Amino acid sequence: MRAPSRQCSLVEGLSVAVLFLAVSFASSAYAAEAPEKTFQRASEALASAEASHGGDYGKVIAMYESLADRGFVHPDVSFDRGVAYAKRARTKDETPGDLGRAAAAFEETLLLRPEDREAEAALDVVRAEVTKRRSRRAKDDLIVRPSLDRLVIGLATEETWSFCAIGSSLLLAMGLLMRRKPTGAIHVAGSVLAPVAALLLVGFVPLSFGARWLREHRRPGVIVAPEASLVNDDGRAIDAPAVPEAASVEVGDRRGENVFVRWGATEGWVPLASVRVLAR
Amino acid sequence: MRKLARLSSLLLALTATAVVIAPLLPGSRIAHAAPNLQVSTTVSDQHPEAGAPFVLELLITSQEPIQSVGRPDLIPPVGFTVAGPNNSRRTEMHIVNGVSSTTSSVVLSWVLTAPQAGTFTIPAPRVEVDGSMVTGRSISIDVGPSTGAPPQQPGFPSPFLLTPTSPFGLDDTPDDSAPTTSDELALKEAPDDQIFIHAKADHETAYLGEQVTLSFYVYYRVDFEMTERKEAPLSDFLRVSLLTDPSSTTAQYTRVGGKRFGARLIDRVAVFPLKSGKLSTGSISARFKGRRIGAGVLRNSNELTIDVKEPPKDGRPPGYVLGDVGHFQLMATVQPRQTQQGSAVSVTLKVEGVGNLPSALHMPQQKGVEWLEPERKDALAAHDGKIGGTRTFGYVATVKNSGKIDLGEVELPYWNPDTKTYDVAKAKLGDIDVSPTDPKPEDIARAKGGDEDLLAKLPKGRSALSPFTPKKEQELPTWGLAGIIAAPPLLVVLGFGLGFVGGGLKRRREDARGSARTAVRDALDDASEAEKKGDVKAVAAGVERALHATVEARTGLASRGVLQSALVGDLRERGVSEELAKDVHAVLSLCEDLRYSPGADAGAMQGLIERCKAVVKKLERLEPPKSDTARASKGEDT
Repeated sequence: MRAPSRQCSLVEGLSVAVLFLAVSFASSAYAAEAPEKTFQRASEALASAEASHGGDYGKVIAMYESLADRGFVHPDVSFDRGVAYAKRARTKDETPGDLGRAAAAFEETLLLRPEDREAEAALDVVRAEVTKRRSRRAKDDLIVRPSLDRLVIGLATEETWSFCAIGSSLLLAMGLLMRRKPTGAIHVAGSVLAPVAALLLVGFVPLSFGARWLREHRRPGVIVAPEASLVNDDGRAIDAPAVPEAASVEVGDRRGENVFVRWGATEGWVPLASVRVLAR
Repeated sequence: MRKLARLSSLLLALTATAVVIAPLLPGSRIAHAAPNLQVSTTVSDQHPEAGAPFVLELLITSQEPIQSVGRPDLIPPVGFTVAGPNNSRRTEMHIVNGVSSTTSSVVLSWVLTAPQAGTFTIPAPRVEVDGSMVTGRSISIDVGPSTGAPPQQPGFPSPFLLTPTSPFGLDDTPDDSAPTTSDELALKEAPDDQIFIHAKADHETAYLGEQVTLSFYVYYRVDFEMTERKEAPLSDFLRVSLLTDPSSTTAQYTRVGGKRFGARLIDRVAVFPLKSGKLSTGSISARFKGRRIGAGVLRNSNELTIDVKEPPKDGRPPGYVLGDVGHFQLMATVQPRQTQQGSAVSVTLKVEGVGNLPSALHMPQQKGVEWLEPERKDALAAHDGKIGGTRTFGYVATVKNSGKIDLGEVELPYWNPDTKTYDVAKAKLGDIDVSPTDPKPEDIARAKGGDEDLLAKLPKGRSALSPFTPKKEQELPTWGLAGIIAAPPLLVVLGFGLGFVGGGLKRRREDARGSARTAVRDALDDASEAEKKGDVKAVAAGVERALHATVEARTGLASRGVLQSALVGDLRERGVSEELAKDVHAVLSLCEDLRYSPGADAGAMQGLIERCKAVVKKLERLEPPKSDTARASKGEDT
């Protein structure tokens, strides 16, 4: 009676070992070749999978992910990865979170190349599909808006805010110098310029440093799970709706297996695996 | 003429404006009855005798609480005597099927006496109610000649001021042997020998929602006037007044504990129990005054307890709502019977009957028919002491489907307390024909989009990497950015500070230099003055002073304390040319000779001042010493 059991264990062990070796080999194979070559092979595999209607997208995704793991950042790689995930979501091989990962890949493409209209359209399609699927599950389409500070800071880049702050500072200096003239048009111009520039400086400096803080402490991310429920510091669920798949979030500190995210004006902790941090 | 016409037009316009606006102004004195006020004017006797008092009453009723009453005004005909007015108030709250209404009443009563026979018109009485002047109506009376009968107390046909005609005579002792007119009102014993209030219910057990009629009687053996009345609380009941005019009731005579009493109905209400159990009605109270009983005598009625129970659960039809007790019929009308898909039809349901009419109806629910909240209208009244009438529910139904649609049947289950059975009033709504309408394009698109494969729209993957240059982040440290931002204004401010300090120093130096120059100028002026006077020594002293001051200011050398022999050397050390140093030495030597030579004459001082000035001019071309201003100051002192 014991023999079959032992035989079974042996077979299982061998299977695991073979799988491990295969994965290691594949990884090392990808790691050894140039990223451009890996991308070439991956794009060919993607085209093949698209042509065969239900091809092995898993293999294609593995190649694209290996490029990401190696730190190869390119908008076209991100775009193709998004296409691969999204198309797998149409097949029976769909894995929960595929649409979220596709959205993350397209967001990453846009982050690297903001003028990529094709990626923008693809992202809209993926988000529409997420909404449609949620409505089938009788879940509302949740639309959150960024809080006012993020909204204002997001109106321009960090460099722009910094230049504005420096410009205001220069104008203030000029205004002060012009005011030294005891009388005349230059004195009047300085009297106007100095307070205006001071006000601008008061406005632009927090925006500049706020944008810098956000860049240094927060990273863009996308929810790659069907839903992510937010918890507070004590691990208790907060009174807010769960973050839907493919939603863009701000990713903050990591604590154990959880990561801090901000979704709209709501903040909380979610499992690390449910968020994909975008490369930039 | 044209100006006059314009002026007239302007005056006319102003007058019209004033007439329109004046009533709207707060505190306006122009008479206007406030909205929702009902005013009635009555007299107790249209044909009084001359010299006999009668009562004029102004009754103001409002559906809203009356806050203030003031400035009553009655101008009687010439010769009439007027007493009063008496002011009485009452507030009633009615709750019928959960809908509450409040009625506030104010009665002002004047007692008038006509001086002689004739026809008189009593002008309309007026009173200010809640800031608005309310006016009654004028009343004509025919005053007959006096018959010589003793004057009677004027009777108040008021709901709460009641003076019944004495059955016993004002001075008579009650005659207990006299016949009675009502045995139903007979009581075993009287709580008071002279006057009391008694409450009576038509039945003391009732079903939840069934009407119970409460009657309140005043039993009396003396003349009285009821001056004030307080209603029974009836907190567990819905209440509907049945007696609107207490003056319409007539006195009955009955026996209480073997004594003959007059009994007069003062109030009758229909009440509907709101819950089951033993419910107390509370008591009614009133104050009386009379010759034999005094003034302000308070009397409380007995409290009644109504035993209320729910209708039986056995046989209770589905949908029955507790409180729906009575006997009802249901009628329905649907308009129009033909309509279009998405349109609405009007469904009117009329509940008619006696009892506690239902406050809501259950409409038949079906997919595609949506019932909006109904509009309710009541027409309730008392008939033979029973509350009844109609309650109309106006529904609007929106029909979303097309075709022939059966709206179903409305059912109203109720408990009939007379037959002690449940019954169901029904009204069939019938069919309506709904013609379909063309769907809107957006509906078609929405319908199609429901199953659309959105992911099929995704583009294909990219086969080649397009040129891409990763953005290099020029990491400027935060302090660096802060420095760049802060530097320009800070530098300017720093420059201002340095300029301020430097300017101060420069000013002080300039001041010091200016002091030396002043000293030189003063000294030379003194010398010039002395020269005019021919004072050789004074000239020498002035020139010497000017030269020393200049030397010290320009070289820092306190030359006054230096030996003549060493002067040239010291000046050379301080950068003074040898030629200039020798000139200084020569002038100073000459001055010394002039000052200390007894035989110095005026010719000796010729040209000394000009020579000194030339030397001073040369010295002033020298840069003053950079050391400090202290020396300059010393020079100034010098």
